[in-house]
Amino acid sequence: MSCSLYLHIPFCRKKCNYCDFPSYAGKENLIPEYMEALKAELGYYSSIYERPSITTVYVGGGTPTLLPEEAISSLFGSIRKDFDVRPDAEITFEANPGTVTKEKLKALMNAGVNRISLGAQTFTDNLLKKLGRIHLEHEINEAYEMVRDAGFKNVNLDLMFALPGGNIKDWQETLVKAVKLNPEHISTYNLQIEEGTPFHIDKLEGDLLMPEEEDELKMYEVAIAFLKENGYEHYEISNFARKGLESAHNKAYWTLQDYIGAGAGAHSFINNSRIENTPSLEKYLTKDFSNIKTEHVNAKKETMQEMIFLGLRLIKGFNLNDFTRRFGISFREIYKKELVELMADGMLEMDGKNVKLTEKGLFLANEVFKKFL
Amino acid sequence: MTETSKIRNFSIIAHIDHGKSTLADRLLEETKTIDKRHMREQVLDTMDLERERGITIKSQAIRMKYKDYILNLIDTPGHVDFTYEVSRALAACEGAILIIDATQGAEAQTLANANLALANNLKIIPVVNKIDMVNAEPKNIVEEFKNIFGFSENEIILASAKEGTGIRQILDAIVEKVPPPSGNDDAPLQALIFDSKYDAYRGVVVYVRVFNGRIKKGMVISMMGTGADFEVQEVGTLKIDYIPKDELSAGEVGYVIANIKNLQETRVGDTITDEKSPASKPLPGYKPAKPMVFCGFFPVSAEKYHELRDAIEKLRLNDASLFFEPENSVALGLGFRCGFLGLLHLEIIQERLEREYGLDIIATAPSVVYKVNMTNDTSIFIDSPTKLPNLSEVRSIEEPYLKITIFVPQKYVGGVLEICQDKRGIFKNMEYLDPTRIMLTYEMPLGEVITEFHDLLKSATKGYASMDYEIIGYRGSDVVKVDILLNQEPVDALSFIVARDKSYYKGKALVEKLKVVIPRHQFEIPIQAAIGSRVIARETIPAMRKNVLQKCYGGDVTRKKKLLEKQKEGKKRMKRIGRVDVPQEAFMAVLKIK
Repeated sequence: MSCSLYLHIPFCRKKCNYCDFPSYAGKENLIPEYMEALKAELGYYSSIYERPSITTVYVGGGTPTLLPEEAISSLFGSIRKDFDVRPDAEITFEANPGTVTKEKLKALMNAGVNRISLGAQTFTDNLLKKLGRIHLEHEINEAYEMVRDAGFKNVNLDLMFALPGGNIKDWQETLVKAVKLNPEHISTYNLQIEEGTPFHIDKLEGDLLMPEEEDELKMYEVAIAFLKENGYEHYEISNFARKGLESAHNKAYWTLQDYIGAGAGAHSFINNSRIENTPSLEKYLTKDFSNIKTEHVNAKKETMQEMIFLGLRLIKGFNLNDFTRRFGISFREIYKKELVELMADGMLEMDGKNVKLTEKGLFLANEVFKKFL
Repeated sequence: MTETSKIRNFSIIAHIDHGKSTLADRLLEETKTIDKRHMREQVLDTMDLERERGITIKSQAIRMKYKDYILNLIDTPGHVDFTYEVSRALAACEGAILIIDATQGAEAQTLANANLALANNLKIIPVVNKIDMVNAEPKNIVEEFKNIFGFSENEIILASAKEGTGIRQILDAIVEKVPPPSGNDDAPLQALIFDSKYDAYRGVVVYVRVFNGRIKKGMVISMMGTGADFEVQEVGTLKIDYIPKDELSAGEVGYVIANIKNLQETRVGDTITDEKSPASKPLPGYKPAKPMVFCGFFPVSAEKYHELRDAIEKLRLNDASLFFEPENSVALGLGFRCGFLGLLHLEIIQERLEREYGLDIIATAPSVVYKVNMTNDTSIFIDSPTKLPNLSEVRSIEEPYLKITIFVPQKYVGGVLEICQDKRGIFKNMEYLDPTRIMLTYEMPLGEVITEFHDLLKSATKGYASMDYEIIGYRGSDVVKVDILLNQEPVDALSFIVARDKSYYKGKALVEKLKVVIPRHQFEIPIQAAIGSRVIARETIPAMRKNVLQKCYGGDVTRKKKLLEKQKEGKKRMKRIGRVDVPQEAFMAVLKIK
């Protein structure tokens, strides 16, 4: 079997005010035990699928850069032992600017990591504080410099817009500063207020000053125009890259390739099955892997829907032949009515062998996706 | 058979929240009618909704034994919407306990209910409740009882239902002061139906008070009002369960089961007699409850129409005052025009349909019944703005008026006067109940009271005002119909009738409100308010230009999908009118306009 591999590190020094990912602050003492469990899970998958061949690796969190150097080296040792990591594999490691050190970067380089995703979010200090980030602007710049000094040739910056208290002007400044650093890849996420987060509570109490919808739209438009101008290709709804440097790992998600997700709260997609690991650290640490996973075997229809709403996230859309090959039936045949309607509304278009969102459809992507559910 | 001299039939009457249900609980406990172990709070409020809202909606009856007396307690609702239910409970009694909360004093419904009791010639036992509270002022309440109702000091019982103080005194007073029922077991049967209930297994269960004669198993009874005949299958008395007995004789309160399939055949207020030797005339009944407030109920999805009909029919089995007939709206499709005693009644029915029957319904804004005098000298009554005929055929319109009584502490009276003025109230009287409290009397259109009048009153007086009202008849008014156009199409379900001098303002406020309530679509939606062909207000909902999920959620595809499904689900709960999805809120928006 050939697939991608995601590893989840659910530890943070401090939880951000918008974050609802499985991640825990103040439990760093559990890291050694967790790493043992994580390695055990890698072994579990390795034996089931007979040491799969791995095309991309992504270590995310939480804050993976909280891990000590030895833990990093030892983790990659296990990965290479249990899996056949291809020599040309893209290997990404998420880094929080507040936790990056030269030593850790060196350990990552030595472990074969070839891509760093730096969680910058914004270059405005008061917004960083508002978000509950553990770093300021100057630490982003310092971390970035360290990453380059350590020899990494492929770097992503994560950015967020539509922040409470934010405006178009500070978003433009963030974009300018990000581009000035000249990373290979930039992700721009429109902040959503998720249930159960501190921001959600503030919002309910009316204490959160959110930008108007029109302003959010403008911020998104500004990002697209500005990044294009500066030589970044807009290849997915929220992602921009220098030519040929798109994130291979994320593309695996959007094109419905198989991936193994290991760690608390991680998700896998294997042979049309969606598997979710328990987000609970305590349960995960039992290493009872058959009991901490919930599996949903997709019906054919469900996988079709996923191929559409994931595939259409890519600017070039998805390939009609790929669809037919995968499902044995043509997209145009089963979704004739929806396709005609959406094309008439100017939301979808055909481009050679691909179906893709129009520019208008891009901003209303959810409206398009819903039609196929 | 119980000797009538040993029977006492009584009610408890009070303003809402003055402790009626708690007192009833204590009486049941003290008389060992209900084992303390089985006691849960407010035994008589059986509906979940009643317990949640702290109100009694249906009347209930229960039989207690005290010393060698039989005490029949007939519980009454305490909300102005259900005054009618109170009056029919009182008609079955000889006495009433009148409660006043020691921390609140007499309220509007205290007075209204006391007047009802007096009109029914009941012996009233005055009780000051909640004397255990720190802010209780029993002395003042005793004074009120003396001044307003003319009681003497030694008649008034001081009690705390919560702590069980004064309970025996109340029981003794019932035995000593409430007269036993008069009546003759051997005279032709006359039994008053004061309530009825639908039981899924046994059919209609009729609650009766026997005035003369006997009613027993096997006999054929006849309803004097509807003329329907039934064979009695079971009679008995009421505890928490039904206790079958051989017969009910004059003076007794109990239930009758007679294979009655539908509530319409056993009108509450009707007299039951013996089919073989009927009474010469029925007991003085009471006027059937007249629905005063009407609105449309429509299923969100058209295929649920029959389910909705079944659900309303089932609710009607237990609620004779609920009226309904099919209604066909151009905008909302098939549904029902329903009539209610008041706004609370409407809300309760709507909530029960949604909660107990799991239906998603659209309720349109409530309307009163207008009397339309036509140019051809006929008159029609319309319960919906859409039924208003072409104005060229209309000579004049009349609307129902109320006499409304408001009790308010003196320091808030200014605010209340202002609200009444604004709601087209006609000032009638202002009277001091005591140096700090005032009773205001106004005449006012019902249409003004069914909107947010009660909320306004409460907020202007920090909750200290109380009100009661009665319908006094129709009066001419200068009203117009305002139509709402959504995306150029008139939406009949959003039309409303309003006083002409408020029409411009209300139309403008409503379109502004609709602009907020109706979600953005992929196209621009103009909203207009119009009187006839003249547009009086206009707003535009801008087109939605952005709805895109940005966040990646790692490989959690399920979550992305759920989010999309949730968005789609939200849309399903809305009613599609033309190309526009309209949420339930929109149809009630007209009520929310100040």
